Amino acid sequence: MLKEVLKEIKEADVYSKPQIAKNLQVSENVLEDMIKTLVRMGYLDEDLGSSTCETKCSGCSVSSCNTIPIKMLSITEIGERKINS
Amino acid sequence: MQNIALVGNPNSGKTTLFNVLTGSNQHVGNWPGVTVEKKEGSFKHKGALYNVVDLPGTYSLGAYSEDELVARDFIVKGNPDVVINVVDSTNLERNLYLTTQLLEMGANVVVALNMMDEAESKKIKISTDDLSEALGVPVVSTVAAKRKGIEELIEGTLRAMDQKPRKIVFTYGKEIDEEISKLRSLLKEESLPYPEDWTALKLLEGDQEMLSIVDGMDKVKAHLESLHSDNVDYELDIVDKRYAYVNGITKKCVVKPDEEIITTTDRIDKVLTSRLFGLPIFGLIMYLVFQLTFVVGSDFLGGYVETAIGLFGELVEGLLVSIGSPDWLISFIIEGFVGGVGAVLVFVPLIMVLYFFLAILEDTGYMARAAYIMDGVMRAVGLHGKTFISMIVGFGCNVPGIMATRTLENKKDRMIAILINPFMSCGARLPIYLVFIAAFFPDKGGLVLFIIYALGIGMALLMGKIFSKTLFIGESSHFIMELPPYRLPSPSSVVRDMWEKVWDFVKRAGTVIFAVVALLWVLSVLPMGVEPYSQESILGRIGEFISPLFAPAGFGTWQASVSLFAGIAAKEAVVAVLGMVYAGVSEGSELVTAIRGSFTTLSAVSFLVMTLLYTPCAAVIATVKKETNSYKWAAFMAIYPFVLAWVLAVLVYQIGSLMGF
Repeated sequence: MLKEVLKEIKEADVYSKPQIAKNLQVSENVLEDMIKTLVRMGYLDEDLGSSTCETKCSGCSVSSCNTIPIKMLSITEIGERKINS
Repeated sequence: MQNIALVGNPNSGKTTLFNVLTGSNQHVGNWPGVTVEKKEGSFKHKGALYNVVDLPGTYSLGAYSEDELVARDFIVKGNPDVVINVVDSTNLERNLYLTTQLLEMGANVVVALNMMDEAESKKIKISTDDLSEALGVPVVSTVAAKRKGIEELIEGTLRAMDQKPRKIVFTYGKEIDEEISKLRSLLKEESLPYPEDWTALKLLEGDQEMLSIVDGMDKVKAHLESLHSDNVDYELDIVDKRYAYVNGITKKCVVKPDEEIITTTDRIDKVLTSRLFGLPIFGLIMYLVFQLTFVVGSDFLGGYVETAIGLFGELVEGLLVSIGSPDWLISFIIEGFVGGVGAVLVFVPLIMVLYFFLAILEDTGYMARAAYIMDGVMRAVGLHGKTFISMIVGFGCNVPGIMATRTLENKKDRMIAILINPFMSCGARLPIYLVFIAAFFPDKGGLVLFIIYALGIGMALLMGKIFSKTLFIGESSHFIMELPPYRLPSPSSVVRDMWEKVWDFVKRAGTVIFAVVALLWVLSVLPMGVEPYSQESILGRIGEFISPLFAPAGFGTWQASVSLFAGIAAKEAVVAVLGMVYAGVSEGSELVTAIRGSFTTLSAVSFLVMTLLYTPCAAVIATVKKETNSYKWAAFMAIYPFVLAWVLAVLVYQIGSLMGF
């Protein structure tokens, strides 16, 4: 099932939990756990946004930082190997 | 006294059940060596006293947190007579993962199928008999919060105490089963605090605690090393088998109503992020934002600030004259400070309104869609989709925009994202556009601003494409993004977001811009005896020296040249200098009139192209040096946008002139 999650993510454009959960016939909570597990194991890379909000920016005219809540996932090299295995 | 352990996922109602079972007979302490809270209590049933331990809430029994370690250590080493696994009935599939791990450990488990009332209200039907049969352990329905099923649970638990747990034989596939068997036989020769089967399984999962325990066991270690050298990794397969096991059980024992998975967000996204309409809608929304910015910011609010600054200038001037201040001081305060800094501050209402609308877009979740929509475009030109996130940040200020590129792991992607970020129109450049729009395109403000921003994005994409084909060749990695659901914007969050940006803009006008203006004022009145703000001043001479460079672009005046020069220190300084060097005209509409007299429409367009694209401010160049750790790239960042901007500004002016504009 975890390999299927990797495949679904590889083929998807957007990480839609409801859609992937539906395709795999699991609940969204379980899918979330699976993704966490895959991230922990190093098959997926999770990016919760930039850390610019934490960085003091003395040269800016405006205190602009990334407040857009986008979670990004990418398949790592070992993740790619797992999919192809 | 017999021991009962309570274990379950967080929010499964475990602690409620603990309170119901033990009442006031409980005490709280800490598990030895860790900061995890230990709750213990007791209850009496039919004259016998039972001890109950409430284990920390956990989703699994790995070695990844103190909670997990405490829970599994107690189950394995504490030898509870029964482990009551409290399961949230509304979320059975997730909760059963922990149950599976308990069964793997060989624990004497009783499942309390808690929150059954909620499951029923959600029309989730669970067959307790089938579940009990599938798991091989007693299953009791409970509603701990309403004290329902407690008696049955106690009876079931006491019955289980008298029985030996039914051993469930798990299979993880032939290869893993064989490895477990090999390890088990090796572990049998050793003295272990845990069951051999479970230890073998955990070792194959790469459990760090287990690996440290077998560190001194040579044969076991050698076997594990041989697996490691063959690049064998069983962890994913083992976890996978658990999920498959749980999935099989829930399919057999649970009937759920067909869930409506098409949410409102999905419906909106079908249109807003569609391949066909996504990009045009994004463009339209941004165009509307710019239009509204002018309608609200300029037509309704703009006049008040301008009038206030004008009144302030008159008041201060009157005061300075009345107290007999020297002319140079009056000149510095009125023409330098009020004229320069005031010329920047007069645009605060427009900036405030623009950030207000952008904050609304951000808060509704639309800006995340913008990143997704642009992802396709970015990939088409060979850029990483994440680049657009840093570009959006760059609309506020290019410094954090460049810092936001840190999330790009690939050096090629990151370098391109850094080099194109300054083409995003930062807030500091807004006053320049607004002055020229007020002077030449007062009725088409929204459209012109939209075109300027779009030109910046277009230029960034073009240069990104060129860089990806020349300087930084390579593949961009694939990624997907999770879009947050749409929501109504929260007024407090929108106002806070807007206010933070506007306040920083005002603060900077009063500090950095003031310092730049003070320096330029000194240069504009020296040497002594020359006409202040004239061509003979040092500032005038600097402008005069560089102005021929800009003559082919149509704005070869010393005033325009020196303002662009000052803009390299800080972009707001462009307007501040224009406000100051058009001596006496100072801020607001007077500056607009002066600019209208000094530029033609065509040279104004050419000037706008120049200011949009030319050398970013000093802070950005310093950030590029810091982020790339290279003076070479910092110098490149300073030079290439200037050359590009100059070429385009010249092209605009020369082609426009040829066409008779």
